[in-house]
Amino acid sequence: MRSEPNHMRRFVALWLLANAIMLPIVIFVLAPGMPPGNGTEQAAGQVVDNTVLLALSTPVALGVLLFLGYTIWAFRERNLDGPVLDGPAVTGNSSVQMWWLITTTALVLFLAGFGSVRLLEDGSGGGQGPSPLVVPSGKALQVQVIGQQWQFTYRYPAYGLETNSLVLPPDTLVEFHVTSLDVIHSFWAYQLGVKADANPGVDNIAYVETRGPLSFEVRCAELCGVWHGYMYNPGKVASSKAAFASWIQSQQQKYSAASKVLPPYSHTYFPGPNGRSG
Amino acid sequence: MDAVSSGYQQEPHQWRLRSLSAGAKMWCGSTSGFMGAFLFAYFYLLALDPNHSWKIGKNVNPSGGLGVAIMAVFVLSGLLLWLGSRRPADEITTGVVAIVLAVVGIALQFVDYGVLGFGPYRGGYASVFYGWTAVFTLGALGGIYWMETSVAALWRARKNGFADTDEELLRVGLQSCALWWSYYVALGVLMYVVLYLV
Amino acid sequence: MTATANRVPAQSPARQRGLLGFNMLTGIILGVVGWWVFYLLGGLIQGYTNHGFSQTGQNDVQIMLGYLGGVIGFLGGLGFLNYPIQRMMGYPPNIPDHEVEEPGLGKYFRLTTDHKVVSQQYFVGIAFFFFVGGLNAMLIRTELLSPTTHVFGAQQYLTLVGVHGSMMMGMMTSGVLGPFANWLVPLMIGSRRMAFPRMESLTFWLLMAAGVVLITTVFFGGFQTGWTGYEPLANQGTAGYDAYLGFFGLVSISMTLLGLNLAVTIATMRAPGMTWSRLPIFCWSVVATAALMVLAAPMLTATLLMGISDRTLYTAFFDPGLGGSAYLWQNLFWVFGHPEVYVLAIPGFGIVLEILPVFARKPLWGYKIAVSGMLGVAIFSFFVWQHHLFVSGMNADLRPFYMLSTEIISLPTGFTFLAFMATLWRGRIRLTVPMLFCLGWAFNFLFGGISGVFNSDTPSDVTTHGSFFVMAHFHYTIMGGLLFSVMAAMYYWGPKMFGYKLNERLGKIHFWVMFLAFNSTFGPLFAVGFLGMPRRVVTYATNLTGLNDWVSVSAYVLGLSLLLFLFNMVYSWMYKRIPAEDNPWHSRSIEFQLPTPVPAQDFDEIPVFSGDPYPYGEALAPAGAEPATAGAY
Repeated sequence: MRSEPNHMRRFVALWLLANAIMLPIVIFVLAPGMPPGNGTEQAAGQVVDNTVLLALSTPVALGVLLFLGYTIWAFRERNLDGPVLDGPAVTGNSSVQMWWLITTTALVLFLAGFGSVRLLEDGSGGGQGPSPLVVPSGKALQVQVIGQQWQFTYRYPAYGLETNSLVLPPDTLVEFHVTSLDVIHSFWAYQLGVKADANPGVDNIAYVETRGPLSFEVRCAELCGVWHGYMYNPGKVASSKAAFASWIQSQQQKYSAASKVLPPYSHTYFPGPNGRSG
Repeated sequence: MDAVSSGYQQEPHQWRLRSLSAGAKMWCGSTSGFMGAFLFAYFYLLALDPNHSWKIGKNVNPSGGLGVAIMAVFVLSGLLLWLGSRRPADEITTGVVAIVLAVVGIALQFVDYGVLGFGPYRGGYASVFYGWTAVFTLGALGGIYWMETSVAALWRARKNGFADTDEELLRVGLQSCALWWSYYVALGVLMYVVLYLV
Repeated sequence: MTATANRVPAQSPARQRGLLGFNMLTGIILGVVGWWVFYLLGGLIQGYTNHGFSQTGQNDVQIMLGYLGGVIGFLGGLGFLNYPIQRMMGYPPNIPDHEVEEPGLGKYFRLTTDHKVVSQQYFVGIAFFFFVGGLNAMLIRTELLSPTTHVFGAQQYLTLVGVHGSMMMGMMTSGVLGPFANWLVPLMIGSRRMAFPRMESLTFWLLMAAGVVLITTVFFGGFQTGWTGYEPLANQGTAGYDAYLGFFGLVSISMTLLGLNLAVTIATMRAPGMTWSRLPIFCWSVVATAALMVLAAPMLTATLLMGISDRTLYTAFFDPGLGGSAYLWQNLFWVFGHPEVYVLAIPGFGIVLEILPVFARKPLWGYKIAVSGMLGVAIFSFFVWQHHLFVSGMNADLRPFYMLSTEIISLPTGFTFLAFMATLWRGRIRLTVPMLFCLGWAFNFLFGGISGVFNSDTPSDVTTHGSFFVMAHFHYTIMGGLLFSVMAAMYYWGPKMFGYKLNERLGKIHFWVMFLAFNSTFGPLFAVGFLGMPRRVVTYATNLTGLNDWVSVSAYVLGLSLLLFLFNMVYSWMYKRIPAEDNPWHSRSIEFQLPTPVPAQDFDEIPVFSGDPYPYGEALAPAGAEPATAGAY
C-alpha cells in the first residue's frame, strides 16, 4: 500500500503521449475540414480560428478525460462488499489552486485576445451594425440584403437593380447591408463565412472579401415564422468580373419594368403595419 | 402542534424576525430588477429612436404638475410608514394614513391617464410611459395589501392586548413592509423623474 | 431558545380544508370557472374598445384575462386565497409553518407546508412536465428523420419546438431547487422548515398552473417563436403565443419566490454551529442559484408584461415602426436568459460536489474555491448576455468585451472541475450508480464547456451562431449537466426520500444506456451544426439526412433510457420493494443520520453542528469506531 507508484508522473506521461498522438491528428487531419471552408478571406479566417481553438482544447479535454480515466483505474475500490475505507483526508493545496488559476487565466486571456485580434482584423464576416468598427480597406461593392417572410431580396444600388438571386464578383470586397421588412431574419451565407441578423429598421453591415468562383448556400438562421426552414436560396461568386457584369446586365433587362416602381434605395424600410413591400 | 412529540424543541425566536427583514430586503432586490427592465427600455428606446418615433405627433407630454403631485403623495406615504413603523404608539395611525395616501396616489394616476391626451401607441415614450406607470400602480396595489395586512394584524393584536400574539414579530413585520414600501416609493421617484422631468 | 418562542399563536390543524375541501380537485374546478368568468368579461371589454386591441387582429385581452382568471380560480380552489383574506382582517395565519401531515395520499393534492411533501409534489409535477417536454423532443426528432417527407408540417413542428424549449428552459429551472432543495435544505441547515412555508407551496402550484397554461397553446394554434419568443415575430403570433406569455410569466414569478424563499432560509435559519464555512456545498449552489432567481427572474416578468401590453394595450415596445425595437426584447430576454441558463447549471455543480466526497471517501477538495466558483459563475453571468447577439448588429463594438467576459466565466466553472478532479485523486472511489452519473456529468459538461469556447469566440461564432452546434452545446451543458446530476441525486437521495431501494443493476444499465445514447445523440449534432444546419428548421440539406437519422434513432434510445429509469422507480417500489437503510452510502451528512423514512417533524431538537461538513478521510475515521458525522447533534 505504501510503496505506490508515482501516480502523478504516470498521469503526466500518459497525457503527453496522448497529446503527441492526438495533436497531429487534430491539426493535420481534422483542421482542414473545419467550417466554413476557404472560399473567402473571412471564411478562411474562421477556419484558422476553429483550428486554433480545436488545437488548444485538445490538451484540455485529453487532460480531464485521462485524469478521470486514470483515477477510476488506479483508485477504484474493487471490493465494494468489504469494509468502507476512507482515502487520505486532504482538503486542499494552495499551490495547486494557484497554478490552476494561473494556467486557466492565461488560457482564457489568450483566447480572448486572440479572438479580438482576429475579429478586428477583417470583421470575420459577422454583422457589425450600422456603423462598423472594422472596415477592410478597398473599394467595396454594396449589396443590400432584405429579409422578409420568407425570402431574401438583394439590391445592388450601384446598378439600380433588385433581384432575388445573389451573385458576387470574384476578388472583390463586398459590403452587405442587411435589413428586414417584418421580423428578425438572419442572413447566413455559409461558404462565404457571413452571418448577419436582418432586423426591421436596422442596417446591419457585414464585409466579405471574395476569392475565386464559389457556389454557396444562403439560409435564414433566425426563426422567422412558419416557413423559416424553407427560407434559403443558392448564390455564387462569378467566375470573372466580366461574367458578373453580364449577369448584372441580364438581370437589369429582366427586371427593368419592376425597377421603375421600386421604393427609393434606403438603408432601412418601414412598410405599413402588417404590410409587405419593398 | 398536536401530532408532535412532547420533546419538540421550538425554533429560535430570532429566525422569524430575521427571515422577515431579510426577505423584505431581497424583495427590494427583485423589485429593482423588475423596475430596471423598464428603466432600460426607456433609455434604450430613447437612444435608439427607431424610425424617429420616440414621440409620434405633438403633445406626447404628460402634465408635469400631476406627475409631481402623484410623486409627492407616494413619497409622503412612504415616509409616514417608515417613521411610524418605528414609533409603536403611532404605528396604526400613520399606517392607515400611509394606505390612504397610496390609494390617493393610484387614483391620481388614473386621473392622469384620463387627461393625458395621447395613447400608448404614440411612440417609444408613450409605450414606456403607459407600461411603466401601469406596473408601478399594480405594484402599489400590492404594497397597499402588504401595509393593510401588517397594520390590521397589529390592530387586532393590540385590541386583544397582545395576548397569544408575538408583538415583536408583528412590529418587525410592519418595519419590513415599511422598508420595502419606502424603497418602492424611491424607485417610483426615479420613475417619475425619468418620465416627467428628463 | 427564548421564552417568547412559545408565544407563537397556537396553531390549529387546517380545519377549513375539511369543510370546503380545498384541494387540487376544487382548484381545477374553480380554475375552469375562473377562466370562463374572466374570458367572458374580457369579451365585454373588447366590445367597448375594439380599436385599441387590433394590432394582432384578435382578442388577446380576452385570452390573457382568461388565463388570469383561471390561475386565480385554481389558486383559490387550492386555498391560497383564504390566507390573504384572513390576513387582511388581521388574523394570524391558520396554516401552521410546519405541518405534520397525516399518512394518506390527500396531502399530496393540496396546499401543505411540510417541506418534504412539497418536495414530493415537485417531484411528480416536474417529472410529468419533463415527460411532456421530452415527448416533444421525440416528435421533433421524428419530424427531422427526413427533409422531404413531413410527419407534422411546419406549423406544428414549430409549436413542438417552442413547447419543448419553453418546458425545458422554463419549468426545469425549478428542477433541482423544487424537488431537492425543498427537501434537503431544511435538513442540511437544521431549520426543519422553509422561511416562508406557504410561499413554498405557492411556488409549486404556480409552476403547475404555468405548465397547464403552456400546454393550452395547442388549442389556440400553437406559437412559432421557440422558447426565446423573439419580437416582432411574436406580435404576429396567434393566441397560442399568449399561452407562452402566460406560461413564462407564471414561471418567472414562481422562480422569484422560490429563490427568495431558499435564499432567506439559508441566510437566516441556520442551526447553531452551521456557519457559512460549514454549509454543505449543495446549499452553496442553492444560494448562488437563488440569488440569480431573485435578481434575474423579475426582469423576465417585466419583459413579458411589455410583450403582453404590446398585444393587449397597443403599446409599441417591440414595434420598430412605432418607436419600439426588436433589439429591446433580445436585450431584456438575454439579460434574464443568461443568468437563467446558469440557474440550470449551478445546482448540478452542487449535487456532484456534494455526492463526490461520499464515494471518493475523501473530504471535498478545495471547499473554498468550489464555493467561490459557484458564486463567481453567478456574478459573471450577468455580464455576458450579448454573446447571444454577436451577429445581431447590436453594439458590435462591444463584442471583444463580451468575448472576454464570456471566456472569463470559464474560470469559476473551472474551479468546480478542479474540486471535482482533485477530490477523486487518491480517493477510494466506489463506482456506485450515483457516482457513475457524477462521472457522466463531468464527461458531458467538459464537452459542453469546450464547445462553449467556440461559441464565445466571435469569428468562430459567425458560423456556429444559430446553428445546431449551439443547440448541441447547450444540450451538453444542460441535459448532460443538469439531467445527469439530477439522476445522480435521484439514486443517491432517492432511497432516503422515498423509503425504498432502487435496483442497482437496472440503475447501472440505465446509466450506460443513457450515457451512450446521450453522446450519440448530441455529439453528431456538433458536426451537423458545423456543416451548416440552422436550428428550428423543418427541412434541411439532403446530404445531412444520414446524420439526422442517426441522431433521431439515438434520441429514441435516450428517451427509452429515461423510461427505463421510470421502470426502475416503479419496479423497485411496487414489485421488489426493499426498504432503504438509514444510511446506505455510509454518508456522513446529516440527512443520512436520520431514520428512513425521515420523521415528519425532521428532528425533535434543533441540531448543533460542529466540524467539517465532509468528515471523510483516514485521519478522521479511526478503524472500528463509528465515524464522525457532519451533523453531530
